[in-house]
Order: sequence, then C-alpha cells, then structure tokens
Amino acid sequence: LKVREDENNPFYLRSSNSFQTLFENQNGRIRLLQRFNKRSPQLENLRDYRIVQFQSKPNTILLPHHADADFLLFVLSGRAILTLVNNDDRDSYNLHPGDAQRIPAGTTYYLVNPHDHQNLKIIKLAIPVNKPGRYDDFFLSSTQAQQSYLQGFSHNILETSFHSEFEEINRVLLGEEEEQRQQEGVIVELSKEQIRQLSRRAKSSSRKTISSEDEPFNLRSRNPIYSNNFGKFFEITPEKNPQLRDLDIFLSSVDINEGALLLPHFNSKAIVILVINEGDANIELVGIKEQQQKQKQEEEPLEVQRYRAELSEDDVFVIPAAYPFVVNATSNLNFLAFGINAENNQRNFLAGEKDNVVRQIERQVQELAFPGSAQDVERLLKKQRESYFVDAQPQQKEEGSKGRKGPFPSILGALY
Amino acid sequence: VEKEECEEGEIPRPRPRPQHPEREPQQPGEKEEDEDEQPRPIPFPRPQPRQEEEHEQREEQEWPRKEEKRGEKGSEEEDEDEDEEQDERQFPFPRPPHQKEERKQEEDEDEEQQRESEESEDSELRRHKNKNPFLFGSNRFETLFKNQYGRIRVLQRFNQRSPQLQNLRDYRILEFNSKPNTLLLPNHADADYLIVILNGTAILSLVNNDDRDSYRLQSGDALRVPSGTTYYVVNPDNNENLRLITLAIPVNKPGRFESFFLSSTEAQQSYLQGFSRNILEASYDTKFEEINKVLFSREEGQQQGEQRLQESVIVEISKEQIRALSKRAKSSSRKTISSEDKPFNLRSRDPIYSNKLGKFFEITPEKNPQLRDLDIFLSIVDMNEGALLLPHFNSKAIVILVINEGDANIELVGLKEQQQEQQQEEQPLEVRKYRAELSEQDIFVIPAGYPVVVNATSNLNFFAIGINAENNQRNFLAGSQDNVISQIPSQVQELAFPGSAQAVEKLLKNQRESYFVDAQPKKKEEGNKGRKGPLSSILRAFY
Repeated sequence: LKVREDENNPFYLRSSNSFQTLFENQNGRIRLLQRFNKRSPQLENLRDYRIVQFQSKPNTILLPHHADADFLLFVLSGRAILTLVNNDDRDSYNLHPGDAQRIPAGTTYYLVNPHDHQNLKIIKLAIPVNKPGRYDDFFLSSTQAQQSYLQGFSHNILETSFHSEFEEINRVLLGEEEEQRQQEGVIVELSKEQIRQLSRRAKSSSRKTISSEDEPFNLRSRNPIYSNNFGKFFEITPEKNPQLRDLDIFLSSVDINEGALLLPHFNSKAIVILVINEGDANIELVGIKEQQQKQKQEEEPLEVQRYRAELSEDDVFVIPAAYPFVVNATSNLNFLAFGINAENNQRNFLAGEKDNVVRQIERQVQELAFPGSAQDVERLLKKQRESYFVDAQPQQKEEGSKGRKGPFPSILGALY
Repeated sequence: VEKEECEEGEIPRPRPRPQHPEREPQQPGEKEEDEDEQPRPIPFPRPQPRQEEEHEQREEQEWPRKEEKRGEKGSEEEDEDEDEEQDERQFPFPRPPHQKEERKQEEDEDEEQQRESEESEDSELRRHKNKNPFLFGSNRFETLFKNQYGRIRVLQRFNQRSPQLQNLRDYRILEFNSKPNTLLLPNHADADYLIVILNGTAILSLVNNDDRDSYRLQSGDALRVPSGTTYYVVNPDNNENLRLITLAIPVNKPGRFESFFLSSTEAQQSYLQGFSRNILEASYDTKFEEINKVLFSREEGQQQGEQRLQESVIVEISKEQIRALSKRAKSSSRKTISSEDKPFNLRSRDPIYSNKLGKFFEITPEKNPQLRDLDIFLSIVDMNEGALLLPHFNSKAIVILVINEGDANIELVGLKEQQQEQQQEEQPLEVRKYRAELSEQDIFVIPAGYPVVVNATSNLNFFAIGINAENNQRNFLAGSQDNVISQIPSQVQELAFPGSAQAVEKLLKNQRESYFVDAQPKKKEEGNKGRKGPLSSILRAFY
C-alpha cells in the first residue's frame, strides 16, 4: 500500500504555505487560499470556489468594500458586527462563533470586532461571479495600502458625478498626495464610543430559526445530528436553510474529544472542504491508485491509495465525494466543513452501529464479498456498539483495565 | 489615474501585491499573476484554463499508447495515431498559434487528402471510418475488469477522441457484461450513474446507510444510481447473458471517476484496506488479525489456508443464493415512469414514432424526474432491415447512440472546418459527410444541430442517450410529418431553393411516409412503374 503524506498529498492545503496574504497590518489580516484546481487536477471541480480567512484584533473595523463574489461567512471565534449595505437599506448583525451568513455578490459590507480582548476569526467561502475562481475586493476608501475604486474614474467624470470640483472630491473622499490623512490599511482601529454606536443598531442572529432568507443563522442552534461522549456533529443542510439552498452547500461544525475517532465513512455526492479551527487531527483518506498504462496487465491488482495528513489549526483538507475517510482527534478538536454539491448528500458509515452501509448488504452477498462467512461478518460489524464517534484506542484500554490481554484475542482467534 | 482606456494592470489593484512564499514544486502556477498574463477578453464562454489544458494533453498522450496495444490491424493503428495527433493539434479550440511541427503535419495531411481523393470509393469509406471523430468502435473501450464471468469496460473520454466532442467531457460510457448466475460485488463510485439494461435480466440492489432496495430489471429498464450509492448486480438467469450500459457523470473530476469495492479480490483491494490498522481496530473494536480474516484475507489469510479470495469482482453465485436475493427484488413498475427513484421501462409508453418499418420509444426529462435531474433523454429504436430513419437533426441534444443489435449505415453532415488562410470570401463553405458502418456495440455521437440519417442494413435495435435534453426537438428534413422544410413559407422557399415553391412542395410531398421509410423505394418502383430518371436527379439537386 502506498501512502501519500503531506507534500505529495493533493488534498492537503497546509496553512503555512497554501495561503496568500492579501492584506496584513497590526490590526489584522486577510488571507486567500490557493486555487484548488492549481493545487491538483484532482480538485478540478472546486475551481469555482475559494477560501478566505479573516482575522482582526479587538476594537477594529474592516473598511467598507464589496466583491464580485458571493460569500458564505462563518464566525470561528470572537465576536463581530457585520453590516451589509445596499442601495436602499442597511442591516447590522451581532455575530457569535457558529454564526453563518451569506453576503451576496456586490453587497458593500464592513466588519467590526467590538470585543475589548478577543480576536475575531472568520472563514469565508467565496464563489466568484465573473471569472471562475477569481474575484477582487473593491474598497471605497483610499489607504496607504490601496486605492479607492472611485479613483478609477477620470477627473471630469468624478466632477460631473459629484457636481463638485475635483480638489474638493479629492480632499473629502480620496486624500491623494496627502498620505497623512489616509488610513494605513483596510483594517483600522475604532474607538469604544464608535463601537457603542454601531452596536446599538445590530441585531443578533436569531437562534430560534435557521431557515431565514437573509439573516444570520447559528450552526449550533439545532441539536447535533450525531452525538455521544466522544464528539458532536452539527450540520445545516440546503434543505434546512434557503441561503444554503441557493448555494447548494452544507455547513458542519464538529467537536471531537482528544483521542476520539470520527468513524470511517464517505459522503455520497458532496465534496467537503474541511477547515481546522482548533486542535490537531490525523486524517486518512482512501482513493484508488491511478494505474500506469504499462502496468495495466491482468496480473497487477488494482490498489487503493491512502492519503494521510496531520492537520493543525487553519489547515485545509479536501475530501472528494465518495472517497472513504476517517478523522482521529489527537487533541480536543473543532473543525468546520463546507460541503459543495450538498443537496441530498448522504453519509455512509463503514463501521459502527448506525448508518452502516456494510450492514445493509444482504448476507448472501456478504458471503461472496468477504472471505469470512456472513456470520463472521455480522459478528465483526456488531462488535462496535458505538456509532459515529468512538474511542481511538479501545483495545489498549481493555487490555490495561481488565487484564484480558492474552486470552481474549486468542479465544477469538480460536473461534474461527 | 487619468486614462479611461488604461488596462486592467494600470489601475493599482485594491489590495497590495503580497510577497508570496516561494512556490512549492507541487503547486504549479499557484499565484494569480499567472492567470493575469492570460487576457480573458470574453468571460463567458471561457477559454480553457491552462492547467486544464496541460492536463488534457497529458492524457491525450497516454491514449495513443493504449491504442497501439489494442489495435488489431496495422493499417488502422497508423490512422488512429494520426487521428490522435490531429485531435491534439486542434485542441484547444480556437487553435493556438501553430508550431512549426504542427504546420508540417497539416501539410502532410493535405497531401494525404489529395491522394486519398483519387483512391477508390471503398478505401475512402474505410478512411472515413477511421477518421470519423464521432465513431467509437469496440477498440475504443478500455477493459477495467475481465474474467470468465464477465467484464467491465469504459469508453475512451469523448473529448480525447476529438475536440469536437469537448462538451461531452463530463460524461463517460461504461459497459457491463456478465454470464448467467453471477454477481458483481458491492461497490460505489464518485459518479452519478444512469443504467440501462440492453439484454438479459438483472437484480440490482442499491444500499445506503439506512436502507436497501432491490429491483428486478429487464431489457429496456433504466435506473439512476446516485453517486456514492453502494450497489451490486446479479445476473439471475440460467442461460442468458446480461448486458447493460451506464452513462457515468463524475462528481469530483470532469470525466474521471473511480469504483470503490468493499471486497478484496485477486484483481483489486478493498478500499477498507486503505485505512491503517489501528484505525480499523478502533473502528471495528476488533484485532486486526480478525478483521483481516473476515474481510480481507490477503497474505496473512493464506496461512490459514481455508479462506477464500475471489478471483475478481464478478463472481459465481449459487441458485440458492439467487433465489434468496430474488425474493426481495421489486420489478420495474410498468405503469408509471415518473417515479423519483424506481426503475422505469423505455418501452412502457407508446412509441413516439411508429410504422411498419420502425418504432421509436423515448422518455424525456419532462416525463421522468430521474432524467430531469440529469437533463437527459433515453430512446430505444427498432428498425426493420432496409429501413431508413429519415434525415433529421436534434435541436439541442447531443446524442450518444449505442448499437445493441444489428447493423446500420449512418450519415452525419457537418460543415468543413476552414483553414485560417483560406478563410477568404472566394472559398465556398463546404459540407462534410461523416459516414460509418455501425455494428453491435459500436457507439456514435450525433452533435446537436447536425443532420443525420440511419439506414438499417439488418434488423436493428439501438439505444440513445440525449445529453442536454430538456426541450429538445427533432426536426425532420423529409417525410410528411414534423418536416421543418414544409414549415418554410413558399416565398422563402422560392428564394432558398433553385426550384419554384411549387416544385419544392411537390418534391416534399412525394414522400408520404414519416420518420421511417423504405431505403430503396425506387428499386421497387423501378420494377413496377419505371420512374427512374427524373426523380433521382431532382433529389440530387435538392440534397
């Protein structure tokens, strides 16, 4: 079995070298993940999607701008006041961790971190409108780091449009050649007084309903779809929320305790982009090895391929549809997942008591599919009584606590 | 910024150009600067991104090798290789600036064409068959699995065969054959499948995380198997082989997909073996040795001696086992074809065209939700020996035709591609005929809008998959019904054709049948009425 790890793993986008910093100063930064289809032709069908990471310090604001992309914004940690501005209205929302909100393409928005101590961390899925996988941010402000898009218009157009002398427009809006009057970058400090005023108008995400057309919704407002002592799996599917339905995306937030395993399973049709929020994990993904043409002889058996990665905070991993995978939390873990092509997706588990696809296979077929008898297979599958999340080292524990080390496995061996 | 006409690059971008970490070897062309070098004047339809192009070309290079291996006759091999080269050269579309070498090839080909035009009609036909980018003979399949119980083959990617088939690049054709009393072991794929039974009987079982459905399928039954659904197929018949054809629409990568088998056989590994031992042990709460013995039984199992390992993914199944599996299988409901997820039969409705010479059955996306989701129509056509399916074109569907039984001649009309240099007013635009002699298992692609005619040279049954099917219309060019030329007002006919409107009308009315006609009516008439000369010359002028 060939194992592809880290550098050769086309599905692993490591935080340290896969992001491009679009903007950074002492108040925060914006980073854009490398294009998926540039990473590997295996990710070709993700070429219309980008991942953006935003972090800002307490008491800061990301200046107003819009982009030629639809965004699905998710708050990983900290608090935010998100304000969306259109030609005829404005909405401000108080956001907390687990809140998600779609920002339609072309919506001017700004983002305040109103907290006094905590950093704000946000992840966005971007779906560009004009070009596959590429978009731009259009800022209204001129700062030392970038120009206002208004400066793209010629003087006489601006003079006519604003019915003012250019010098006046420049003085008020642009501040060309007066760098001291411009902000240093697009993330700037905000006074507490200003924050207080902005907070006043902000609504909170409605925690009761997740089906709102345009208000933020919280991933953890519903019961987890899978839950036990080892982990919790929260998910909102397109069927449950109109914003996600439009984008054909599901969102999951998963907690796994240290040492626990999310059992092997595959998504029937969704391609999943997994973003580690906190903690560390080992992931194993199984694909089919691509055959060399020369080897394509009858003798050579078709081999499977394991893609393994050790993931830590901010790392991104792509799980193709139908590829079996398993996540092992090596510390307390929280990750976020975007499921692309999500409608009617099903998770087929390969072990555990519930939702186990292997157990649905008729015994006559099990007999032929596996070397063991149908009884053997059934017994094996029933051994695991938990579902979804399990302890990654059950055998060792049994051995230690009950001292059943020697005899138990050997009895089992003798039985067959 | 003062100039309105300034280029994209001249307006400083709203974000600073970051200093990017040095490029990794496995991240070719990562930064956006690369893309900016490629101007994209028209965003939609978009030109092929470079990455993709490289990728495609790499794959194209792989194919000729395969062809060499499969090629049976030496002369054909040569032609095919040439064919592949031509494909590569024409890709992407529109053409890239010519390289010297390519230019040479082109000239060679022109010469060749001249040579060939002097050769006999017969060899020209053969050449058409090899050169015809729409024809996929049996040698265009790649065998994925094969043993004494059956085989699975996948058709070459359409867009590798020819850039003319670029829009079929997200579709693949799979063929499955199995002997009586056999089972295709449980597996799933990262592709949506549309399965059609051509011959024989199948028990198809679909398994999900929490349920299972088994269906008894007969010839003409069709069923969608959604991506990621574990399924297995039994041929329960004692005598008849099972043959089914599958349209695969991959989910992860355009035009490429994998089959994931649960079982380990001598031909392949179980995908469960991709997980490491400690993961499997924790997942099944069982020692690896035990898991291995029950589920995989490779090397380790051999020591125990008794464990079976199947030879390949198609295996024999006992009658007793078949009986048990049959019990739970439902039949395709022949009453309704509109079920969300049950099989439907293509012959369950009245044929849309029917007469003594042929029958045309079709189920469109409007009639069936499974087909609506995929935007595909399915047809089955029976034609008697010597019959003609009259010239027509599909308004928007690209049709993949699969010959099930019998032989046919097909003629497809396209326009000759102009050489860039010749693209002057003087050169009249010429039509090009693509002709092929089709026999069992051949596949032929009919592009949307391209006129086509099928002539059954023996009793014929073919099956057709229409891609981009919603609201597709068949426009016939001859025959009394659905004839698009008859719909043109006489004033326009006068201008469009050399004959008068009356002459055109009279001509069109000569054919009283519709859809299916006798391919040699004149011979008969010659015998009876001796109307040989005049009619055929008018016809020639018309076509």
